[in-house]
Amino acid sequence: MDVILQFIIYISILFMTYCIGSYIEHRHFQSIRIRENQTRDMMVITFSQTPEEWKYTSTDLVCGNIVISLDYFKRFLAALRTLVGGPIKSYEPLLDRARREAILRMKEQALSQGYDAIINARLETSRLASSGGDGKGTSGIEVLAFGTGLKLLG
Amino acid sequence: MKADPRLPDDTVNVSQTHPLKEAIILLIGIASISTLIFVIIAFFVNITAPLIPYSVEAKLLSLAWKRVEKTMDTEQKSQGVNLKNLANRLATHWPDNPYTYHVGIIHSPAANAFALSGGLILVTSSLLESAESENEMAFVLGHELGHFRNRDHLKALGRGILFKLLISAIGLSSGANLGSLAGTAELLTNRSFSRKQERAADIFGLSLMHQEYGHLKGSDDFFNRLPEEAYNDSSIADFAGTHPGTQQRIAELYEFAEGKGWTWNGPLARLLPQNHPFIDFDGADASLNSTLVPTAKCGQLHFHRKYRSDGLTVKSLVSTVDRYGKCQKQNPCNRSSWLLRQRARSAPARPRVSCPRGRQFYIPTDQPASLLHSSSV
Repeated sequence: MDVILQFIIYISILFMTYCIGSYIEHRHFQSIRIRENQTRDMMVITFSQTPEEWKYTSTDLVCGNIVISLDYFKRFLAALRTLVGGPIKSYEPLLDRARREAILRMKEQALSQGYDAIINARLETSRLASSGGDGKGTSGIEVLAFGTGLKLLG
Repeated sequence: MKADPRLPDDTVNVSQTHPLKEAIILLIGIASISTLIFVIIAFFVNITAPLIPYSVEAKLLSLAWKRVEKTMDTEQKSQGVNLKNLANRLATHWPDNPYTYHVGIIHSPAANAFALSGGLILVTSSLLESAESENEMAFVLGHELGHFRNRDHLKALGRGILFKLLISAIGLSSGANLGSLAGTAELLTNRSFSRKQERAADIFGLSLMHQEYGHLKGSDDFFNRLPEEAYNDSSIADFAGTHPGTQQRIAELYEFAEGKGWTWNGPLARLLPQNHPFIDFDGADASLNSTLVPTAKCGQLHFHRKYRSDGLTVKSLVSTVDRYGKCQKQNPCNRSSWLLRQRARSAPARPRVSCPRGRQFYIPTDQPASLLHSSSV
């Protein structure tokens, strides 16, 4: 009986975290889309050199940073996937959200500082190890976006 | 200058497969593969487990027994000795019995008993509390003896160990939460014996009952008590589909007994009282056969007639009762017996009683305190 009960609790936790996780993910994507639309005018370029015709007054480092974690259900799904191999699809939305959010934050910082464009944009990812257990688990990832903000003339 | 960057495409970097769909496909696939592996393992274990020598089992026993014994309190230990004697008595009817049985009591709300390697039988406290006669307990122990005879316990153990090894080999037991899920699955499969194994054990237990008591009364008490009591817990067993239904098991017992012409009528033997203090005697050595299970009553010591009390100075002092609680032979004229009775009444007296080394003496709590104190040697 205990075993069955444990099983039911486990399944319901999985389902609950699925529902909550999906809702949060959905909300986040919506917010990302709206903000991307708002900051559309800000150019983010990966060139390290500016085009010849660009005239600019000041430059500075701008960066955006996010730490984000996966829900229990998707982690379970990823664990299942590691048994048989193949693309871990449940991680994809997480990484996509993290990268886009980091770039957005970088853009928002650049806007608030009055820059018109960002050149030499770069992304860096690092994994945050879980503090519990053996330390091998992943509690979340950090994505850092950074680049050089430019104030353009004319 | 004005740029017009395009918005990122949502669909490129994120797969559009629904996560629930993926989960279901993966779960079904992995479940069917692990079932296949488990069936293959179980098949080989069933062939190889009975080949494990008894000496290896004895080593396993000493490990397990130490752990079980630690968890038992004094009262449970005394009950364990009771049941141990009962199990070993039953085992005398099994000519090739390779084990010396030990009985451990574990605390559990579900009435159940388990056969572990090396002759270790675990009985739950709830089963012991609900049992009303020695015959009822004897059948449960006989059933477990049946598992020992068919070496079912080794098959279950082997399956469990191999499955655990498999899980740790995949690396599930650490880190991922999947490990706990797999552990749950293992619990579901590990403990259960097949329908066939249970039926064989039932029939073996029944034949032991017939040989020990000459009748089968009390053998079905355990099952009859199940529906209203703890066997509602057997939903796991029903779920796993390995335990024959209780009703079916009783029906099969009746059918088998009828085929053999064994009777279900006879007197029930008493189970020894449970809430009693016990005194450890340290006297002369005695062989296993001279096991004593005495009860004290009305200032006298009564011994079960079944047990040989050779070599015990106490023999002449007591009257004997049979295992059905009736006096068989009284020694009212015996001076020593009279003395003991007298001494039991007058508080500070110390009757001289000795008992085999390591044997335990049970005295019900309704005894006069004088006897309790005076009996220790």
